Amino acid sequence: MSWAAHDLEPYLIRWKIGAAISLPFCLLGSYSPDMFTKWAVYGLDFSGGKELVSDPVQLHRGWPGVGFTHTLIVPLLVSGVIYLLSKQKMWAVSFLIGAWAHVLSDTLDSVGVMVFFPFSTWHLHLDVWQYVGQAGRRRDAVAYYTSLGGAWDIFWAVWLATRWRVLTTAYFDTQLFPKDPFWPWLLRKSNRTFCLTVYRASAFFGFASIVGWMMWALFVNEFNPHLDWSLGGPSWAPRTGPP
Amino acid sequence: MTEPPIQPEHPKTRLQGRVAVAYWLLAGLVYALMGMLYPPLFLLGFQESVIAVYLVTALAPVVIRRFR
Repeated sequence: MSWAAHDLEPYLIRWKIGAAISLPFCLLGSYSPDMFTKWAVYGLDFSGGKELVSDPVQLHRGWPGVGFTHTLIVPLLVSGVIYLLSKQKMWAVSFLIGAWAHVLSDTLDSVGVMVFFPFSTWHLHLDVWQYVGQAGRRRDAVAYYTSLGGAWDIFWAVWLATRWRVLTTAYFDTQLFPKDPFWPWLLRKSNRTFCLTVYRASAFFGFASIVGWMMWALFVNEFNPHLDWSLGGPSWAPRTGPP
Repeated sequence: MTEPPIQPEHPKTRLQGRVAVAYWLLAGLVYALMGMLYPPLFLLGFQESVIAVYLVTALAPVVIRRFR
């Protein structure tokens, strides 16, 4: 699984594609595959040991399980529902692109996703880093941020940093607010500070979490605090394939 | 579509622009350091950063206006 990449990708999608993308719905799509399942995968305790399910991999990415959240077809159906309810093609398409970005990013780990579901439960998995979610959030953080998963997050952070102006208030006022009906709606319900918070929170968290987790994994955590950017790493992690 | 209200927090000078960038970098670094020291409170999900980002956003114009 990917970590902060899911927080940062929507900003670059918005920047690349432009006004056809609603950033809030692209973010919602990017978060949607894990929104209701991550807590069950990791258990309720940061340090692990309070598992809620016997087979987190099967639950998270498999079928039977909720692996259908990490497919191409389900986000398409959800975006159809968004369109039917809102009549906003921009919102539906943005949700779909955000969700597909998440699904395709998750093909990089060793478990992968069922891209052809419901026609096949075959997993596309590129094995760039190991899936370690079943070991709990703490161990997964060590594995992810010391492996090429961490490099994947850094890639997105560096790319977005080169486009830092998309995070400015001026960009919000000129490029986002006038072009997405979501923002005037949110402003009527809240205030300007809250709108800017919603706009930036995911990017702020994405950048901060990469720095924080990497420093924690390398300098605070005592379990294998070493970078291992080998393909399929880290080498200490148990080999975990599709369920 | 509704026009955005007046935005007094836009940096007006080059110095204010630099201060704004430094301000957000510092805020992110402080958040990351707190997360490093106590991950369960700061690094588990973006929803936990919303309060921090709201405070930083609210304080930004106050800080940036001090530099002319």
